[in-house]
Amino acid sequence: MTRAKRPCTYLALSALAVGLSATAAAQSSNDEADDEPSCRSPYDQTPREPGPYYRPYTGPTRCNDCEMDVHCCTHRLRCPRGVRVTEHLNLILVNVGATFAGRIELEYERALPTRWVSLFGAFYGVAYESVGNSRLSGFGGLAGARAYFIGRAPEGLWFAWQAGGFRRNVPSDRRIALRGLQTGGMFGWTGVFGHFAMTLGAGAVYTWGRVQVQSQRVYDGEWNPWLKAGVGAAF
Amino acid sequence: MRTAATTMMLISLLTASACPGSPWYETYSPPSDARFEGISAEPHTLFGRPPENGPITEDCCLPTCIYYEDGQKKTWTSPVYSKEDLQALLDDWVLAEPWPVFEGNDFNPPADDELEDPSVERVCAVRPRLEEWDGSPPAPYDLIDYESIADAKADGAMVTHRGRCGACSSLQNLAVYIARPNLTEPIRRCGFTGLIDRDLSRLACIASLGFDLPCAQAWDFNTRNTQDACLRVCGKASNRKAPGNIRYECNPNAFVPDDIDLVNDCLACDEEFSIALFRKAAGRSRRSSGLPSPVCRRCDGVFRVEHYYPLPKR
Repeated sequence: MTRAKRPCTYLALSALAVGLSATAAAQSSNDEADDEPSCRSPYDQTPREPGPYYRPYTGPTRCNDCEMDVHCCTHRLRCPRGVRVTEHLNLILVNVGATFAGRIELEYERALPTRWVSLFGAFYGVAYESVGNSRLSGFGGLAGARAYFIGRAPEGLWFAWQAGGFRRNVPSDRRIALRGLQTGGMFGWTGVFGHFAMTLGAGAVYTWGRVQVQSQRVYDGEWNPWLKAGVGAAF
Repeated sequence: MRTAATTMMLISLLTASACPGSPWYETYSPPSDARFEGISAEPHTLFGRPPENGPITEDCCLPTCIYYEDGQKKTWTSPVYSKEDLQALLDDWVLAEPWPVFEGNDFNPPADDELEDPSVERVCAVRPRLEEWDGSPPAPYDLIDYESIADAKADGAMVTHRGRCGACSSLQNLAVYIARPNLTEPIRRCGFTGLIDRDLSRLACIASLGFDLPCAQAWDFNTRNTQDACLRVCGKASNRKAPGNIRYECNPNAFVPDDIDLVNDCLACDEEFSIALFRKAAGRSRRSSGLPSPVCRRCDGVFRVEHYYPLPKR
């Protein structure tokens, strides 16, 4: 049985088409308004058309992270060869909060050239986390991306989304293991003071995991708060 | 050099995570009941093994109960189980079909009409599966519900606790109950484990005390339910550090309070909101197994049973 298309479908499609045309027109008029100076890249000093990465030239300014005044045409540029970077792009952090709880957690973060996003990865080993009378051992890792909505990566206020996995064993004559996958979001702040960096964050994490005792296993998922307090080095 | 150091760190963590621990029952030493010698049980004394210098003295709480049978006053004392007795529970018997786990790691509190009628002497018993036993330990057994002790005996089964069988009815879990007279404190500590996976870590922690997974789940449900229902009461620092019992001056002429009025506010709240759930899920409790704990209780709630399960002769 064929089903007649409703008039509202055509109406919605038409509205969408009109909307897209209007957006394109507005963009075109903006481009026309901004097209006065063509931009020169400090890399090759060749004129470039203004675009999403090459902003129009507005006069001498300090380039994003370079120790010299260059005529910046872009917010994505790296420093010209031979010019020292004054801002750090890399962080190595130790999660102090996790250390108090018996985990050694190391994180590496690298700012992307856009300077509003960074990627990071963390590895942790559970060295002496207590479970009742026993001590857990195990390891885990996670990776994610941070979007900096105030400041420039890796410094400022951010929102991160991260995912990872872990495995832990409970010392016992029987086989007791805990393993799982985690994902979650976190808001936070990172400050860089010379080569010293510190970060604070809070969010929520969903853990989907499995507890195994000998041959029996049970699966469970849970939301939990996720806190971070780290110190480390910027370079 | 840096790579080598990282590799070594990884190897050490992996190795540590694979190391087996020593058996939990190795540290068991039978309790000494010498301080109770010479003290006779009376109808107003409670059942338990109170801590020294606690709020209830040995005069008022003993691992012994008075009861009346055929109009005669009798005394029953919970045995002190030796390390060999404990080892026999673990080595001589194996549950033929492991108790199933609670899928989804969840258990709803039972409705009122599902609760056990305390007047019914229903029991859970161990029945050997002789047809599958080759004569050498461990002997396989089933856990079977019986309407009465007589029914269990008639069927060749050995009673292990009052009430229906549950996730903690197995002899392996009984060994944990015997070896760890105070489970409240280690299970409370398990509630503080796990940074970002509290429920799973708590369950693994409870299992590490020696329980199998379904019994660990039953204790975990009890802990979760008590945390939800009694957070305010149990969160008070004064209650966290309080002894299990409140002060009780036993007097032959005085009224013996109910169990709920003998314990601190947190345990009273646990008793009110979680005990039905726990009994339904776990089956076995200390009181229903005749095991004394540091928290003293009324004798009329204690089931008199001794945990010796000789292997059948072939």
